[in-house]
Amino acid sequence: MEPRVIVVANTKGGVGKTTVALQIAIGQAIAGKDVWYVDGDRQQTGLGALTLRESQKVKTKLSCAAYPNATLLGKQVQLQADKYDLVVIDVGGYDNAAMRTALFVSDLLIMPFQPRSFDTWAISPMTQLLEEVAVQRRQKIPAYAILNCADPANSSDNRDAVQALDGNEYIQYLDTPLCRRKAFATASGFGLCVSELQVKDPKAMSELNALLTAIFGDDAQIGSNKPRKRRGTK
Amino acid sequence: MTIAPMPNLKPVSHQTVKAKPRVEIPERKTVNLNDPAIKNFIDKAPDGSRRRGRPATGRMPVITLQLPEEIIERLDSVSKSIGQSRAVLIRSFIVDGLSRRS
Repeated sequence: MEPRVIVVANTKGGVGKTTVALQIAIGQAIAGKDVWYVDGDRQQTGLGALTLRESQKVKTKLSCAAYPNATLLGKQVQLQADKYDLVVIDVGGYDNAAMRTALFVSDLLIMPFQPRSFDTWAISPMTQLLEEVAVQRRQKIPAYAILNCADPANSSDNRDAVQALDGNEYIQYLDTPLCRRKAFATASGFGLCVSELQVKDPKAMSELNALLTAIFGDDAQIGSNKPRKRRGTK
Repeated sequence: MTIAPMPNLKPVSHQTVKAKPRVEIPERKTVNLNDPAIKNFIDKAPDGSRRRGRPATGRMPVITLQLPEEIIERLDSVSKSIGQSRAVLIRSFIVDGLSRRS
């Protein structure tokens, strides 16, 4: 079964939740899905980025709403999720009511984390939260951690960070890292997918394609990873 | 059999093999967000709507009563000796007094 409602969450801030949420949401809209981006973060960065998207020359549209109130977020997602092919919920980077609510109404949790000490320390509180959610839901929520801002050279930092998830019963590691690339930050800031940038970064596109394929299967790809040939070149 | 089936001459690398998702999603169960246990768990979040501070004092109306200092001191010494609050003591005295009259 494909996930219909995805929450991108981590109790640690600054791990790249909004970047990952935007790339998944826009990537899937490009792949032809009807996507609803739900911003549950008080900072409303995702909403801001998708507002900027309106001024970009892109054809793909996606719906967006912001719910700083947790109760409203939960009820609206439950009411409207079936009207969309995919709902992506972005929540604030701390233990908050919107995050807890989203964990009850989602099919899948994607937990970005960076290969840094502070990020690996956050795995423990996140696991405790998921344990409690599993008790209340009477079912574990499928939770997958992905490395964001991973070292491109697959350094020992990457491996050490992944090892911190060893034996974790509630969070599995999804081996589709997004490396530290300017393309992700630049594209997300303008509410764009990396495949929509004028100057394409094939590595960033390849990494995002790997993540989307792991979540949704092959149909989810955002397009060719090969850079376009310049005019006049053979 | 006289007609041989057409062989697949496409090299393996050109064949389209669709990858399946690697994440496993079980059938979605609808969660009742109004369930008291779930509501309580959500409200317990640091920014949840659970009320903080002193709990409600009950449904009895609150009145203001003026008393001489000497009576207050005597009330306090009795309340200290029996381990009850001044309010409980005053309430019990009033109930006793009223029950004697009726």
